[in-house]
Amino acid sequence: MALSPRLTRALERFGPLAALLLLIAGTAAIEAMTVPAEDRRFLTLANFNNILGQNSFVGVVAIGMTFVILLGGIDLSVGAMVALVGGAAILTMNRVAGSPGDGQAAGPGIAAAVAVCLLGGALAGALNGLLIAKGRIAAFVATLGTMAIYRSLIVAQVQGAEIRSAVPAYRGIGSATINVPGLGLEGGDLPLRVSILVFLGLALVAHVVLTRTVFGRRVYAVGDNALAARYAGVPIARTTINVYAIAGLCCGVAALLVSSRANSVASSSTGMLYELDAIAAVVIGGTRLQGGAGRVWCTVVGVLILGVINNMLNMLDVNVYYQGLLKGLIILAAVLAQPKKAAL
Amino acid sequence: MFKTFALGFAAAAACLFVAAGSGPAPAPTTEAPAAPAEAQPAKKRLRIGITVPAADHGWTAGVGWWARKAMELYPDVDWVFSTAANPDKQIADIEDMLVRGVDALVVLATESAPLTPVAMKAKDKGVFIVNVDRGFLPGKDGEPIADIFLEGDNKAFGRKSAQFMVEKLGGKGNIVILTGIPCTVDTDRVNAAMEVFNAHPGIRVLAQQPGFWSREKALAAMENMLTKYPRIDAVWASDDDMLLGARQAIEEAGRSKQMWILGGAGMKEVVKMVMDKDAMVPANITYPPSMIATGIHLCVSTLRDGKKDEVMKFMPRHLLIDVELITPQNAKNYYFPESVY
Repeated sequence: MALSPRLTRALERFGPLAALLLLIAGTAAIEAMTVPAEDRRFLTLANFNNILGQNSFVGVVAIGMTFVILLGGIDLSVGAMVALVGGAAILTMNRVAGSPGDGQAAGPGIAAAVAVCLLGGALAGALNGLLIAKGRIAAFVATLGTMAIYRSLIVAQVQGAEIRSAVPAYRGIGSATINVPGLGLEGGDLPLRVSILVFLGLALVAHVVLTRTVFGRRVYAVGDNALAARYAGVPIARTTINVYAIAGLCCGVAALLVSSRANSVASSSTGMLYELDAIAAVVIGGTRLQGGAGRVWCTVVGVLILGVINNMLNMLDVNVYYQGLLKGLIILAAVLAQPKKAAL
Repeated sequence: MFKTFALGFAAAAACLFVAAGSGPAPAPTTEAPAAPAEAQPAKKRLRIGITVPAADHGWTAGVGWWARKAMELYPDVDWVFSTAANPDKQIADIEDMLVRGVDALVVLATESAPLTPVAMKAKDKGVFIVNVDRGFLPGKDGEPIADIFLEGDNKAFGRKSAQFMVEKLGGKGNIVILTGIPCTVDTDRVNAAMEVFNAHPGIRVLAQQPGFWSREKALAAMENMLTKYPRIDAVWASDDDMLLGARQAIEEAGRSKQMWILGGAGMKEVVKMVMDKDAMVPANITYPPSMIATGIHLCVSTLRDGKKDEVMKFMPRHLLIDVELITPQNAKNYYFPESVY
């Protein structure tokens, strides 16, 4: 099947988007056939507010993962990083703010939590980069190691228990909503989640960084051909460390959103398997797993595809035992639908 | 240079953790090798291996906490404690314990079938086995493998919680169900509950969605169900982690006045809600993670005085722990503020 290069490029660029629209249309069609008109809720803004909101945390992580995969790397430690940094943030906040009540220093406590999330995330990520760039450990192995270490650090700190915030106001960060009148169910208000705006805003920033800066060009260059990039004078070690630090920073943002949303962190389960969802979102979005080619906004589409699948399984009451089968099939179909490089 | 430094760091960190990690289990004392016959025979320390699932949700974290509590009660025993995230790891843990020569094993299995062969091997070696909550399959000739099997009554858990829900709703209302990780424990609970719900035509089960015993997953599933169903009267959440997730979704949707939730397992925060007469949490149902401590205690007390054969004449081999309804009246009996769960 010979496609013109132009058509191939267009498919490559808009394939994921087409897959998403197809998925949405298919779900709506099945709902229309099986659910009485007054009970149909899939194609409502309220539902998509749920989908985007539920997936904005993994989405933020996936943005960082896009940088890493574009570089030709992988980061398995992101989920553990979310738990470690989020847990550390709450522990710090509780200490700074003191016990609940009138004398509680909620403001400084929350500021400390934000600082721990962002700095801690960037630091934990940079450590990954350091191990890979300076320690010459394969990214898969290095982050497999830090995944175990980061998770264990936070689990050991509290012996596997849940870490609870003592500052009620902290919840406001991850749960914040903006009421948009008239767009909700039955003409009510739509509580648009702020975490969605954070996710999309970060995606926009990442897009600009990757396409409009020297650093961004270098990320693509290293991922495409590290040797050529080295000969062209790209500082590979520095770029690598920065990329993993960015991934860590994104995990820090996700940790802030997740830990404040639940106002707690379950040391052993928060962030569990985020790495797989994030990698899946990036790859479903068409970014090449070997690096060098891909787009951030396609990752956003990938996150949405995963989110719509999960939501659809709920909305159509799919039997739990078959949910995995259906999910896997849809993911494979979404990737199969995209054009591939010529087979070897 | 970097490598040398990294290696040194890793080694130092490892030493630190090993030192710190021995925790409540007494460091393996230099056990005096059985003294020659002329000296009076020193009483041999019991060595008992405990293996439980890793703390992947609140309840299993509670199991770990209670296990440590029970171990602390008996410092004269050499404890070998491990947690496992999956059956393979647990099998390896038990094999290691057999190599270390344990006298007894207390096992809360991650899965029944995969753990059965290694339990059989332990039994053949003469190791005393206490099996808690998730049972092994029957051994040769259909004989139970465990010397003592102690489990919670999951069918009663489903039945009693569903009966409470039906009564409280006056036999009429829309409910949604959150289910756990698909496994026999969950199936027993959900099926027993569904039997009760199906016997009451006024109860409409709108949907049954998996929350995988996770707060996060239950939150997302509940958000979706709230969007889909404009009228829900009660949520059968079957687990307290899932209860907290569902509660958050309901509160954020501004519908906390319209429905209430029944969780299960007696998490301390949830018991507190019942105690404080929280309108959204009128009751709870026990499924105590402390049953691991019961198992450990039974194990020690059976073996310690060398009267095992006498004790096993009257010790039941299968103990079923009933589940109880926690209400505002009796909640204080089930509230353990110092527990992690």
